[in-house]
Amino acid sequence: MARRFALIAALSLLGANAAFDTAWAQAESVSARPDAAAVVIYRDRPVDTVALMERSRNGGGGLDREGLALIVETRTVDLPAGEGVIRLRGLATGVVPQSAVLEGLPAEVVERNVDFDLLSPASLMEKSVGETVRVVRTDPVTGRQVEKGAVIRAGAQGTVLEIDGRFEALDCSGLTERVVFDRVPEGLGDQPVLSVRTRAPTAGRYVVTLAYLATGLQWSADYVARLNPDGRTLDLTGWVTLANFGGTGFPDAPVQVVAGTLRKDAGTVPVDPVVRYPQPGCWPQGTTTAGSGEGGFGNAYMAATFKEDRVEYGAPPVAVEEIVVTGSRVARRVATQGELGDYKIYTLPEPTTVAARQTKQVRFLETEGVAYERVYRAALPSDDDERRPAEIVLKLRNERGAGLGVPLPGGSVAVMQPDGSGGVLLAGQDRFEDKGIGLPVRLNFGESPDVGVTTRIVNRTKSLTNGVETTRFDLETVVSNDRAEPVTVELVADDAGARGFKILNQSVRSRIDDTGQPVWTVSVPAGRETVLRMSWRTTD
Amino acid sequence: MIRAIGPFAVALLFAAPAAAQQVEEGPGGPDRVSLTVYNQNVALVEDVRNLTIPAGRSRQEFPGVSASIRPETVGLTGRGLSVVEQNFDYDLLTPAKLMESAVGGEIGVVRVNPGSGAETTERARVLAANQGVVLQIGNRIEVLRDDGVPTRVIFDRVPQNLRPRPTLSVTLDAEGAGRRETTLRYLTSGLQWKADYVAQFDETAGKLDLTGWVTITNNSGATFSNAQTRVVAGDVNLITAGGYDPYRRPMPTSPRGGVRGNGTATGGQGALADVYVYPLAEAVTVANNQTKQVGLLDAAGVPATKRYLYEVQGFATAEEPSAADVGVLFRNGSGGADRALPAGVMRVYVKDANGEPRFIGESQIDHSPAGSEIVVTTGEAFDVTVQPRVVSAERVSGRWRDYFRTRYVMEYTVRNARPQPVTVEVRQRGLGRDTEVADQSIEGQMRDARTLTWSVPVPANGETKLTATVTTGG
Repeated sequence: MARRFALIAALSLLGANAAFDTAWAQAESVSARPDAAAVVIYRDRPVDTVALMERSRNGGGGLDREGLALIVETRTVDLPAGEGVIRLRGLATGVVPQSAVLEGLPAEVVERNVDFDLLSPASLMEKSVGETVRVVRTDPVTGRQVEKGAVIRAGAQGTVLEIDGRFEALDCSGLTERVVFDRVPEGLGDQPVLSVRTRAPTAGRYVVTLAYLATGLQWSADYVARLNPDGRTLDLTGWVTLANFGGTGFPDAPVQVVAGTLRKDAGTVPVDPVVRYPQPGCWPQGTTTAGSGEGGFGNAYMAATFKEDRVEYGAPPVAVEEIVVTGSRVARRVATQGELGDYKIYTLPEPTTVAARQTKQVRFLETEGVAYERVYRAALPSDDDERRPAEIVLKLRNERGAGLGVPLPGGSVAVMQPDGSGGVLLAGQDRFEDKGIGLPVRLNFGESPDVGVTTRIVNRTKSLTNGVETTRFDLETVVSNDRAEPVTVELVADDAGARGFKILNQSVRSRIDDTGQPVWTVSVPAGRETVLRMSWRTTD
Repeated sequence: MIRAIGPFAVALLFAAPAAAQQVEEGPGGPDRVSLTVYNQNVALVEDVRNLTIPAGRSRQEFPGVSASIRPETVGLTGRGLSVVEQNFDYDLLTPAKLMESAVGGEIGVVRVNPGSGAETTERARVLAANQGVVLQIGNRIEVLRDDGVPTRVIFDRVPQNLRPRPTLSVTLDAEGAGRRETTLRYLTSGLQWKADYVAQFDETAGKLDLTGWVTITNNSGATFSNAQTRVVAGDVNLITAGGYDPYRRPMPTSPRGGVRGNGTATGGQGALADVYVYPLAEAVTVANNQTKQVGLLDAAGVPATKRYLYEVQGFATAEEPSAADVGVLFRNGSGGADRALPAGVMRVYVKDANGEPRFIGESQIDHSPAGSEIVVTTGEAFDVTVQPRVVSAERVSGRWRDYFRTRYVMEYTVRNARPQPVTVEVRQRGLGRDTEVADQSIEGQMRDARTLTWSVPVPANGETKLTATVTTGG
C-alpha cells in the first residue's frame, strides 16, 4: 500500500542524508476530495418554490447562505504516525465547519482548525512584512532584468521596500517592477480548509466518514391536483424540487429530503473567508498638467486603520443555470418515504447528480381517486352588510378512507379542472403547511362571483344584568347561488371569537367543524336563494 | 552617477551616516504567551518576554501584540520596573506617509531614460506633497514625474513613528540594568469562544452520547503561538466602550480535579466571579483568521428522553392544528456528563433505518451548571399536533375591578399520527391573576403564575381531547 505522507516524500528527497529536521516533525496528509457523498436536505421553514426561483433569477443573493443540508462523505485518508495533520479539502462551499463529525479514524484528534485567510496578492504582501524578497526590474529598452534582494517594510497600504539599506516604494516609479516571493506565508490558502491534528501510534490508510452541515441547498414540495369529471375525486401528484445554490456539485449522490420544520441556530452559517484587497498607496501623483493622481493625500490614508483592509468576501453571484425534471408518468419512479425521528424522510429513487447551481424535480407522490369536497364559505358580520362573495374552499381529508392517508409535506397546490372540452384549466393555487395523516387539508381559491351572502341585522338589543352588558343580535341572511348546480355554503359568525358569544336561536342547526368554529351549513339549489335566521349574544 | 549641485551636496555628505537608521522590529514576539478567552469577544493575553533593559529610562517596543489590543487595559510588570508612559502607535508606514515625512528633507531621485535605459541620479529637496510632489533639485523647481518618465524615489530613512503594524511601546524606568522577565497583560477583542456539542440520541435505549468541542475564533489580527490557553464560561460584566480594569477580572483559580473528556480539565469553582474555567490540556497555536476546535468532553450513555411540547399563547381558537415542538431532555448530572456545560449549540443526530447518522436539529443551550435539566429543541413533530378551541368565554362578574376576569372553557385536540403512543406537554400561557382551574379531563398543574401545564397521553394513531375550565383575571 502506498503511503503518501509529506514525511515520506521528504525523506526520499533528502536521500541517504535524511535527517529529522524539526520542520518535518509534523507529517501532513491531504484528502483532496471525498470518495462518495450522500446529501440530506432539510427545511427550517416553509419554502416557496416560486419565490425561490424568482430570487435565483434575480441573482440569488444570499441563497448560498440559506437552507441546510447534511453532507455525509466517505473519504480515504492517510493517517500519519505520531503527530500529524490531515487536511480535508474539497468540502461543499457552504460548509459549517464547527458542525463536522469525523468517524472511523483510530487516532486521537488533538484539535481541528479552519483557516479562513485566503491567499491573495494583498494577503501575500501583508503577511510577508519583514521577509526578504527579490525585486525584479525590467529595462524597457533592452529587456534586461535586474534582480535585487529587498526586505518588505510595509505592505498593507502600499509596499515599502528596503533595498541596500535605503527605502523605496513599490509601483510608484512608473518602472516595470515586480516582487518575487520565495514561499507562501503559513495559513493562506485558496479556500477555507478544515484540518485535523491527530496523534496516532502507527500510520495507516483508513476509510472515514465525515459528516457536516452545509448551507446553499434547499428543497420544496409542490402538488398538482387534477379534478376528475365525477366532481368528487381528484388525482394528486407531489413533486420535490431540489435546489443547489452552492458552488459544489454532488455527482451520483444518494439524496434524501426531510419534511418537518427543523430547528436551526442562527450561528450555523458558513465561515466568511477573509479576502484582503490591495490598497494601492503611492504618494500624490499629480502633475502640472494632469491634476491630482488617484487617491488624495492625507485624510484618506490617515483614516485608514489597520482593520479596514479586511474586506469580507462578497457572495458570488448565484444563478440557477439548469433546471432538470426527472421522472415521468411512464417510468413511475417515485421517491420513497421513511421515518427519521419525528420527521418524514424521502429517499430519491436512485443516486442522482445534484450539480452546482441547479434545480431538480423528482416526484414523491402519485395518487388517484382522492375524495374532495368543494364548498363555499362566508363570514356573517354583526352589522348590516351588502352582498359578500363567498370563498371557494376545497376540503380534503388526509385519510386512507378518502384515498390519501400519507404524510403531506407543506407546499403549494395547483388545481387543474376539466374545461368541459377535453382540456384542463388552472382553477387556482394555494399553499398548506405540513399535514400528517388524519389531518384535514383546506385549500382556498378566492372569491366566487356566483355565490354571495347578504346579511341584515333585524334587531340589536343591549341589556345590563349585574353589571354585565349583553348585546343580542338577530340576523337574517340570504344566501344566493347563481350557478347552474346546487352548492354547499358554510357560514361562520364574525363574533364567534368574542367574549360571551352564544347562539340563542337558529333556523339551521350549527355544528363545530374542523376549524373549531360553529358553522351553519346550507345547501342552495341552482339559481336559487336560501334564507337563514339566527340570533346570538356577546358580552362586554 | 551623482550630479549634486550647490549646498545640498554638503548636506548629503553629512546626513548619510545617520540616514542608515531602520525601523526597529525589536526582538520578535513573546517568549511565552497565555490566553484566557471569554464568550464575549474579549480575551486576556499574558505575554511574557525576557528583555534586556538598561538602567533608568528606556523605551521598549513590544512587537507581535494583538492588533485589536485595548491599549487602555495594558499592564506591565517586571523586577524593578515602573512604567512612565505607554503608547500604542498605529500610524502605518505607507509610501504616501513616507513622502509626507520627507517634506523639507532630502530624497534621491533616479530618472530612467526611456530611450536608452540609462539612470540619472540626483538629490532633491521635497518642498510639498500636496496633490503632487514638488521638488527642488539644485535651483530648479520641478514636479515629480511631470513628464511621466519613470522615476524612482529613494528615501534614506523611515521615520521612527511609522510602523508596518500597530505597535505598543512602553517607556520604563528601571532599577539597575540587565535581563529580566517582563509580563505584559492586556485585553484584546477579536478573540472569542463558544461550545459546540454533538449529541447522538438513541430514542429506543433512552440514551445519548455527548461530545463537546471548544470552538475558538481568532480575528484579532495576531497569531498566538504555543499559547497556554483556557476558556472561561460565564458572562463577565464588560464595559464595551473601554475603561475595563484588568485587575478586576474574574481571577481564575488553578485547575482542580482530573482531566475529564479528551481535552480539558474542569477549573476550580471557587473563583472570584461566578464563572467556570476550562484550561486546554496542552498549549495550542491560535492563528489569526482561524477557527480552532479542541475537545471539551466525551460522555457516553447519558439517560435522555424525548419530549413533545406545545405552548398556547393566550386564549383563542386555532383554525388549523399546529405541530408540537420535539426536544431531547437530559440532565448533566450523571456519568460522563456530570459537569457544567458551557453555553453553545447542541446538534442532535439519530441513526436512520440503515444505521447512518442523520441530523435532526440543533439549538442553543445556556451555561448549565452540573445537575441542570437541559432541553434541546430539535424541531417540530410532523405527526403530533395540537389545536386549541375556546368552547366559551364568559365574563364572571359585573364588578368593574373584575372587568377582564373571564371563565374560559377550553378544549385542546391533541393528535398523534405516529404508530406509538406519545405524551404531549400542553402549556397554556398568558394567564392573569387569581387563576382557578376546574373540570379538567386530565389533572394539570400551575407551572408558574402565568402558565398551566398538562401531560396529555395520546394513543397511537389517535387523538385526545383535553378539556379544562380556566377562570383568570386581567
